[in-house]
Amino acid sequence: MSDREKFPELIDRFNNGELKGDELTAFLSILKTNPRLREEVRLDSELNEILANGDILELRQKILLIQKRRKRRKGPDLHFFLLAASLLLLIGIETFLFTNNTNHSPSKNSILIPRHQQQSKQVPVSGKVERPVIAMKSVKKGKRILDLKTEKRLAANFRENPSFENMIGSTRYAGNFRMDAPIIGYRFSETAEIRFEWILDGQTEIELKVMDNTGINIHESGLLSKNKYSLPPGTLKRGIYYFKVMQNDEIIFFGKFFVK
Amino acid sequence: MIYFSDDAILKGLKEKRADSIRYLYREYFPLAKSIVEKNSGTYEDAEDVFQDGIIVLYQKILSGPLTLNCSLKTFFFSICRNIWMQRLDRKWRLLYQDDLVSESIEDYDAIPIEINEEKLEKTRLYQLHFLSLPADCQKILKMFLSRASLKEISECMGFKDVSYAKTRKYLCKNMLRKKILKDPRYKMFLHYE
Repeated sequence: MSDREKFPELIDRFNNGELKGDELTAFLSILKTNPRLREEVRLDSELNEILANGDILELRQKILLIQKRRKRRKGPDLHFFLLAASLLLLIGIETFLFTNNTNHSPSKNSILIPRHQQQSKQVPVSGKVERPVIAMKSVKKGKRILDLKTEKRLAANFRENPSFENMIGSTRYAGNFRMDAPIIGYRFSETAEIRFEWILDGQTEIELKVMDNTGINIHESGLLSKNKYSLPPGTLKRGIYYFKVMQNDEIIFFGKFFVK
Repeated sequence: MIYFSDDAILKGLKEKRADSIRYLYREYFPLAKSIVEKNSGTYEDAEDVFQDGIIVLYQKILSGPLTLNCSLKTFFFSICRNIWMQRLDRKWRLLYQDDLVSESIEDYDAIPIEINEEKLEKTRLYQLHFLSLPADCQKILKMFLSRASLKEISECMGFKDVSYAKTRKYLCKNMLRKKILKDPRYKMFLHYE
């Protein structure tokens, strides 16, 4: 057995005063040159002293057991649950507000743009405001607002166009464009003015095209330099409509609204 | 809810009664927690301070009749505060290797209580590792440390002879030392020259 393998025994015997004669001399000379061994000898001596006090060890064991039980009973941090619940509540409120907004009748309230968005529109167009390009998948397409029975009753005008549905929200525009109104899936009353509002940087012009659910062009705006446009009440019959915002023959936004 | 008087707590703690420890935990742990958490510590630090506080109180009870000039709660509060401030002080000194912390221990030692904070932390660390050893190792070491003879240990543990008991002792002790040496918390106690 090498010295190293014998160390555990030698350490123990040294601290118990059992090493004598040559064995002790040899161990002391190794100790002089081996700081790690010195540390182990010191640790062993402390362990002998501390562990010899069985009372403290027993008390520690009891405290630990009680601590463990209390922790188990307490469970995960209450703060975490409160935070999670608050987040869920916020998400719930937002979802509720969004769906409510898509369902409310504009004839009762003609303000289509939330106040904070109106304020943001006051930013000079020339000043480059960073706004993200809306990724198609990230755009909320709105709740299906017509149940099947109603849809059947309203017949063809309210059937969704699958090709158009897939394009909703899509934009390939590299600059800053944001469609403020109508929000996707907005329900206009038949007697309401159909208002379009957007934010676009620079002095560029756009064109707006409105189609019905069969893809037939219902209305073309021509080139628009302002950032709003509207169709007079009664222009559109009840049904689903799709619209595209074009710039240099390129679609930069695709939207959808209802007239009911 | 059962109310324990200060005397009842001290008597119960002296006997290491679980109900007294539970009561202490329920009534006094929030104190330790507030001291630690208000002074850059964590919940786990508070648990350590609380454990050490109980050990100090227990040692005080054992060392002779405890005469308090204040309530036990105030006394315990001072113990925990003292432990935590000394610990913070030591850790800061270890971190910065100098005397950046100008506040002396006496400054927060409202009720002077003799506490060897470093030894308390070491004791806790060693005992925790001891309690994490396999049950037979704990039993062998406990018997050795209580000065039981090798023959008694062999018989109690069912070993075939005394030399095996001796070997098992060395192995268990070695296992314990290695566990402690590997623990990062032990690094602050290293004395390599």
